[in-house]
Amino acid sequence: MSLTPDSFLLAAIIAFVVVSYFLLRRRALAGNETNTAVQAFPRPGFTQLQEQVGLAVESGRRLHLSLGRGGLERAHAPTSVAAQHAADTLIEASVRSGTPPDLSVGDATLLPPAQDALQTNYEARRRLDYEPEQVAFVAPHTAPIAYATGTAVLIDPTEIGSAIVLGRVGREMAYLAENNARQDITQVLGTDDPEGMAVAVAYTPSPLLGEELLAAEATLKESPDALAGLQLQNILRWVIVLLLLTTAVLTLLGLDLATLLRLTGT
Amino acid sequence: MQKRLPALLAITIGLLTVVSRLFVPALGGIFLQWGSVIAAVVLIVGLLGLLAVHLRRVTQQRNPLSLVVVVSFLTVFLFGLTDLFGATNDWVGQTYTLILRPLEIAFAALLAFILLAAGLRLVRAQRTIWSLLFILSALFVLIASLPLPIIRTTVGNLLTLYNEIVIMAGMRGILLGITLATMVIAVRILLGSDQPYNK
Repeated sequence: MSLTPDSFLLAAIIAFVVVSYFLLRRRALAGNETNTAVQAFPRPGFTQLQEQVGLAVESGRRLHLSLGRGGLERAHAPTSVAAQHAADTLIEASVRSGTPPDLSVGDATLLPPAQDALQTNYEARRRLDYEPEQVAFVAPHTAPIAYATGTAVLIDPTEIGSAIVLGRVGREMAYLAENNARQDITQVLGTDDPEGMAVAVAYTPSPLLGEELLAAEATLKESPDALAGLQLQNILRWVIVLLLLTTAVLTLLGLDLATLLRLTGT
Repeated sequence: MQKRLPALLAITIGLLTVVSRLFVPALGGIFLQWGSVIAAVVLIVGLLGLLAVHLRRVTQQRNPLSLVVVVSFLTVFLFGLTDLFGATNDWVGQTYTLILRPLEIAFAALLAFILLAAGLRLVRAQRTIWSLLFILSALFVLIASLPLPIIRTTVGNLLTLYNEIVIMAGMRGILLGITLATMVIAVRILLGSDQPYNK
């Protein structure tokens, strides 16, 4: 039971992140924190996202939410969790306005949380017409094109006014986006996949790219916990920028960080 | 208690997995295996739900595309059964190789042109510096990638530099941001500060 150097480094990083998070969370809960961390991110994508419920209601149609194909048991789980937070806000607003949304997922593990979110809102509004089939599992994560085409089949322009795609979606985003554009359906796209991001930029003026999407909870729900997380993210970014600059300067001087640490006896 | 129990379980299993990843990797593997088994069960539930959605669309709306989905679903399921009992040899695999895979490859090949067309539409709708930059960049990469000797000798090196410096720097910046955000969300879930399983 001894730690390898890699495990030691991992443990040190986890410890640093956990301690920093607790300190920032305490400040946020005490109300000393302004929302500067959230303001660091551009907001038009989220504003557009929140407007979709109203637009759909005005057009007498519903929202379609597609939550990508990042499984909860795999590395991209946080992206799906962030997409779920954004979906929670939209589901709540849609059910409140009397036009519950349709949902689709591209991984089976995303099905129970999506159904749970919808059912909870139905119960909160004392609606008795909830059916689990309102959330469609379209295809497993191994079949991206089947996911895109299967989701497109579910988006009927006579019933769906706005299509929102959030989560881990790659190049198959092009099929979904093109289908929505051809049917004149308003869309908001957000992903953490570089190929999907390129597609989102080409199809929508304010896509939610990468860490913007991952900041969904902090931006839409503005909970102190999420704000503390976002601020920690900004601190970590500066730590990495400083590390990159230091190593770049050292390389220019013909040194490297390991040699320098050895020379200083650390 | 109804909300505390899932949180307690999630935090305990999560922390145990991290600690075992550091000290006893085999134990972490067991927890991950449990996760995979549960995911497989959810997959079956999801497939039944998918069938129900499309059956309803067929019966209530007479939707032809849903009919295709239902027929394909049942056909591949039948292939699975015949493969299992030895009546056929890997027909499920053949279906994937002969139908789904070529479709995916064709789609991948078309992606650059789809993006270019979408980019041009975007420029028409909203003429900003960024949309123009997107189109110019896409056009440059497409032209510079043409397999013509004259292009290779003139802009080939420029394309390599563009890919290795501009594209790679941007990509790394984006991925770094995503990694940090992912790490923070993971830690928050681990500490129970974010409970996506508790509505």
